[in-house]
Amino acid sequence: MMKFPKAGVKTGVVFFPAFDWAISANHPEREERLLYTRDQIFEEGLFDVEGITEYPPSLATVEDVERVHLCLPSPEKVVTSSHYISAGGAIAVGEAVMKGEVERGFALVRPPGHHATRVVRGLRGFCVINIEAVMLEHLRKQYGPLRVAIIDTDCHHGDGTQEVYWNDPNTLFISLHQDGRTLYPGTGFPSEFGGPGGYGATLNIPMPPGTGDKGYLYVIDNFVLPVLEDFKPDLIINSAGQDNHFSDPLTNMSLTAKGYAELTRRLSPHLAVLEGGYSVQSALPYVNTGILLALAGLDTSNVIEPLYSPEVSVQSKKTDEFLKELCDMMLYRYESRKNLFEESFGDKEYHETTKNLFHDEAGISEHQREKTRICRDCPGVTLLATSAPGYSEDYLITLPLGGCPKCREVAEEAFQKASTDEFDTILFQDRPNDVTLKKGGPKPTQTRSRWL
Amino acid sequence: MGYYIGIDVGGTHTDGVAVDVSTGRVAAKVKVETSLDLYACSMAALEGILDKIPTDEVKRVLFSTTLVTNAVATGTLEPPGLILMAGPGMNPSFLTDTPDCHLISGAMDHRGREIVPVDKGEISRIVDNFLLKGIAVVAVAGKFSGRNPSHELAVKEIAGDRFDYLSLSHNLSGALNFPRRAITAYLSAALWRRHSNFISAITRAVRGHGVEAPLYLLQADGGAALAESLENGAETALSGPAASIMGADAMRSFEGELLTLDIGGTTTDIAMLINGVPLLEQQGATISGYKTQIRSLYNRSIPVGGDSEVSVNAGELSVGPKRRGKAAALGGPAPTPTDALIILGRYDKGDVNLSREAFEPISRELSLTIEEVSERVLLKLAEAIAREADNFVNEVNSRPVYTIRELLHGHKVAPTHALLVGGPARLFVPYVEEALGIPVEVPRHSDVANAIGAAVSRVSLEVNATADTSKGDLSIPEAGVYRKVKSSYSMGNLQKETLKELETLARAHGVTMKGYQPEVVESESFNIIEGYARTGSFHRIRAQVRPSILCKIKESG
Repeated sequence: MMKFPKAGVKTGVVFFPAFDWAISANHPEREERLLYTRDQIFEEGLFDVEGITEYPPSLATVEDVERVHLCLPSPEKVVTSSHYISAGGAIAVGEAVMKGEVERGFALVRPPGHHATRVVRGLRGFCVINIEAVMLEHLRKQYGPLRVAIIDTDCHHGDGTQEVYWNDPNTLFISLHQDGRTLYPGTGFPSEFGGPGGYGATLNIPMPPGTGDKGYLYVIDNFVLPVLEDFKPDLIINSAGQDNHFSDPLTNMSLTAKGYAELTRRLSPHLAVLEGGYSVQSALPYVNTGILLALAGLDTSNVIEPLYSPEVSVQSKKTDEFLKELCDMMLYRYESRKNLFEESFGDKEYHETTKNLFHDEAGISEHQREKTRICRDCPGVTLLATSAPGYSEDYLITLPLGGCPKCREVAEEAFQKASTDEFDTILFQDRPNDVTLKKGGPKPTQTRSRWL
Repeated sequence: MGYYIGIDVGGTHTDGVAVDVSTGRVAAKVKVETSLDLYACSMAALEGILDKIPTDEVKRVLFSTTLVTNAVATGTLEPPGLILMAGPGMNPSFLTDTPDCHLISGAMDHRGREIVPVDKGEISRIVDNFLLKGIAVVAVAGKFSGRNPSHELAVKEIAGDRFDYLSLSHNLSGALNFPRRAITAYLSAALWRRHSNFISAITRAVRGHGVEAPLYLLQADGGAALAESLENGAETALSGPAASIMGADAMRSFEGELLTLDIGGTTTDIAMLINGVPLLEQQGATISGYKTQIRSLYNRSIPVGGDSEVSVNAGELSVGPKRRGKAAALGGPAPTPTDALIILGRYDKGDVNLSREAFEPISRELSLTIEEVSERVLLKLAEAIAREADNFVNEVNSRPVYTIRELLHGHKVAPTHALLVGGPARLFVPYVEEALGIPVEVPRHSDVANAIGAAVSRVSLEVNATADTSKGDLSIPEAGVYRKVKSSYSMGNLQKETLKELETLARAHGVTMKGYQPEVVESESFNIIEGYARTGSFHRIRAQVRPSILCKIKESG
């Protein structure tokens, strides 16, 4: 009797299109990015399907943000309401899944977050805070230790998420993306394999331009699923960028709406979080419909975008062969990660690196010096000094969850010694105690959170 | 000056009132028992009222009855032919499980651009097949037909006047939600004959009594509709709760948020007035399991009322969900909250000994006196109502919003008062007040609140307008407006045009222009950017004449 279908899998959705927010007028990340998606999912009546529940976003807090980020000059200055809502949207579906109200969740929110690194100085690749990381660390605080896999299928390398979890053995980060030699941000190569504490828990699959449904599904079946089988995560998060679509204006891949739906079905993430995707009329309405139907265990065979024809997703034989070799090689590297660790880090006490980061839209160049303790008892304390000429010099100390007494000693001593003569802001993320201690920084103007 | 007559057909009683237009006083009221023949009891109530006032002074007559939509619950619908153009998206098979449904080619995208044309030959064959099978009513629905109705109109052109009724979904609602629109079109076709017969019958009967005033029906949103121009019979669903909230509005002027509770024999209805305006559903009414796009007030019903059966399950006292008949005191088969009131001396009705007898086994089982049990029953009832009221408020406050402004500064409702209506409402006040923790009032005439709501409810209307200046299209489906616009067409132009069309529509629907208050309830405006250039704007407006009342009821008199 014309009854809406019942979802095979209970699914919670936060839909927050932020219709009153844009980076700038003609920027791809602008008000109507999800307008046509709204029209499609409302016209489909997807929220009337029994077992698909719409949740309102919650608001992430400054504490949620500082668990992950050092915001400069202060959270108040760089993080806007839209970011707290977008991360809060991810948190709301995350909590719905953790509470068992739904089996899966979809945060259909903007602005995105996967290019946001630990140090936030402004917009980077349309992102300010890393919404997946802010959500995940909120969930860990709420629900205890979690072994988590983040599978980033955005077309751009998820360099922010990779950087946040670089040294975390309990967060597997796999990124499938268009080869960094051909696309922003220019990173995400097989050699990027994790820090000493999380070596082999960062895995990159750079794919040739033109890769289609076949290639993506090949990598899922022959690399991602076997690794997940071995890693045994409690929670699988999909950073579900939609810019692999053949019609996306910023990228060069050939995934279709049906390909997205099939990828989602095979990956079966507990949580999907929207990232990029800027073909707002021709792709997003159909890709989002496909992802939501696939999450909810419903038929996706009728999700066909108007521009579709069988040729759009055909990839070259060379790509087939390249991906086969890449998956074989990466699987071998993953399986040999313990031996590779000994070769790379050996008996050193600290692993030291330097790097330059560019916050593109903020136009800020930053130089980072980082020291991570190579520790056999915990992931190891990280000491990060960052300087942005003309802006500030700052210091971030991170004692990870499960941090051992020795690493705590190092962290506390470093915080005590660090002087505001040398640094503008000094932040100590004491994750085991879930507190952040701060020295220096601008004086907070009135209340900490102006929206409360 | 004249009278407004309202007739409300409830589950237990059919009530009628005449409201004196010049004084706002209730000039006459009648109550008859509702029998199986709803038409007969509405006529009995009307005759009862007409006996008490001069027929030539009747200004209007409004019937609030689910006589037509009850056919949905009883499954006595006239089977319509159904033609759907689903296009890409969710598998539409859930809509095609009716006997004469055809999924045909033809698809539109979200901006109303044709993706797949219709096949006229295919439509002709289906239409011929319907006629051959003796199908006389047909419903047609296409995805995004509100953005571009040309595919639905193609079916109309081929069908011509060969069917008794052809329901095109884009005429029913301009809001998005294809399945709900298809279901609404289906019900409107399936109810059409019953609905038009009902209108003819009441028109004949009312005119037979010498009343020449216009006839109205009550809609699910609490608004009235001129009977002769209301095509979609499904709009008359949920008229009971709708009448009740309009009655509450008429009897109580309240600035702020007012919870309205209608405690009936079988159920209690919960709704809300915000500054005198009923809160509406975001999507539409659900009619016996059919999710429709019919504008409806936000109402939650729980199976707890004055005649609910009281029983003990696993040592726990329970009230409802069944009603097995009248209160025991009146010869009913089971103890009820009404009996509890009688035992406690709060209500003088029937035989108190029968009430005590009915409670005797429960009192023994729980080792409590009959009075103690009675107290507990009334507390239980009040607690059940309070629990549902909490759910109601939480649901309202967790409605999704899509802008930062609304999320951060959106208003959260928190009703400060409750208004209780329904038969013996007054007697439950202390219990409900205690459970809700806010002041509870009972207006005078609460026993005929629904009929009062019916008498004074004004016509309500809604239109959804969309302008896509990049394509150069304007559509206002409810007003039948589809035309081309220039690229310079602005939000201001759309607002002006929408309000003008709404007024035209209002006049056609018998809206009195005195006190006419159209309003824009939603509006949004976006740039359309294609490639890297702005090619136009997308403006959307939802405007309405909200459900409201013709006059307040005076307390005295």
